[in-house]
Amino acid sequence: MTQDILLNIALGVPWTIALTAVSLAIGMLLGIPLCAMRMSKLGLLRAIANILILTLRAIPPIVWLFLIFFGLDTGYVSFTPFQAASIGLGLITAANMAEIYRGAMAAIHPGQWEATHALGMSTWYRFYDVIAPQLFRVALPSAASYAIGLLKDSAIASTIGVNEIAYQASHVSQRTFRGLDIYAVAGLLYILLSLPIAWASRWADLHLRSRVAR
Amino acid sequence: MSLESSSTTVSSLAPKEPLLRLEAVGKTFGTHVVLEDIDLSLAPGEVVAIIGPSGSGKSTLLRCINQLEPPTSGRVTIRNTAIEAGHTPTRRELMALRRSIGMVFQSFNLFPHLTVLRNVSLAQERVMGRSREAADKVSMQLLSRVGLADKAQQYPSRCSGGQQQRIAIARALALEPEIMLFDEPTSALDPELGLEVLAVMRELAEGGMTMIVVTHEMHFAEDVSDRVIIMADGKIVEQGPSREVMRSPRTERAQRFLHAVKDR
Repeated sequence: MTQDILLNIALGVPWTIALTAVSLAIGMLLGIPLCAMRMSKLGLLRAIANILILTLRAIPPIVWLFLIFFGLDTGYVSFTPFQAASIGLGLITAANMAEIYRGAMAAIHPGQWEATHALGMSTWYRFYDVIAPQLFRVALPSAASYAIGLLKDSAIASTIGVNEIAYQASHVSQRTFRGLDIYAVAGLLYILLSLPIAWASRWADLHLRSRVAR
Repeated sequence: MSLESSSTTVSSLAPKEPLLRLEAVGKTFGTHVVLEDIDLSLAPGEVVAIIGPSGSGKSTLLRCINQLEPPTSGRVTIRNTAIEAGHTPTRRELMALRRSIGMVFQSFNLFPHLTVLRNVSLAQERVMGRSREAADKVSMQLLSRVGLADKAQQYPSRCSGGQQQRIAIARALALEPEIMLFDEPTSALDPELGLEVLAVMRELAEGGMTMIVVTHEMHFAEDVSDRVIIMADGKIVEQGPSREVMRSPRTERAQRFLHAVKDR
């Protein structure tokens, strides 16, 4: 295998990383209000959140990407492939993160809320200083496995032309009429990219586990 | 959690004493009556122990005082602020109320992701608006007072149960409360570790702190508190000067309870 081929596949790496990181960032951020709505005392908000989460998770990611990239291209809004993929995967991630947050919330000892109430802390500080830092620690392992899944799922962005690893591999393969070695390299790259996430998550979990009240 | 969605209101009243007054306070969960018609008043500096069988409503009574559980009937007055069941207090009123009442829990409820020092300093900064330096200075003084200055930079998980509870006491004291509520502070501790917590509480009581202590520690109730209240089935069945109540209870229910406890 020539260096040229290797280099061409590796060109996809930054895009895979960028797409995963951007989708994850969107998802982790939008997941917060979505989770808050899901746990709201108002039935209407809860219903909206439920429908959003259900819809986002029930429709396959590839259909979402097509919907956003081809479906929304009305002349008024049009997205680059990378934008469309980020939005699609970001929204799906938001739905999943909302559920991860909700599970983590249930794992936090009720006494933590009581303590902040008894100390007279405001809602903002309650979450900012006490609940959110613990929530993050509890959610971390699930969020990391989700992130690894997302890294691999980002390959479907190749179908709308984001030149990430899978796209580059298929491109090179078509050009050179070689398959096995090229896709094996692509596979290896995905493994190499997911290992650091798994390591970081395990390290963080070990070091942060004792600092949560459950 | 819907701790603020209560049904209570605040209005200003004139009388100066007592420090705390409960009038016909009741609490029901659905059809289940947990507290019924509780009247209680507390003078500044007074130490009251509440004892009684499990499920008698002792903890709920304590939690009704600082509105962790909003009462469903009656009125709670602290100094000149009355909170009436059936009206929702504003957030500011609730925060002011809770600032003047310190609470210590059976399960400590320290913040596990913060160092001991930050645990004690956090609410001073967020609720009282103290600077970090000022808060840390107060915290160090309080930690010395409970004998734990050397633990300041540790995390709570590195401390024993007794140490954690003393830290929790320091955290509550940091807000300079007028009343301290203790909800079975030694029940989660083995007897030896319980002693160091009781020693701190005894010192507080001798220093003139107004305290309500829900406890199973009969010696503490008899020796340290000025007054003992015995509760059963959501009602106060007997109350009076500690020694009198503990040694010669008048009601049959109180006699039965004390008999059972002392026979162990």
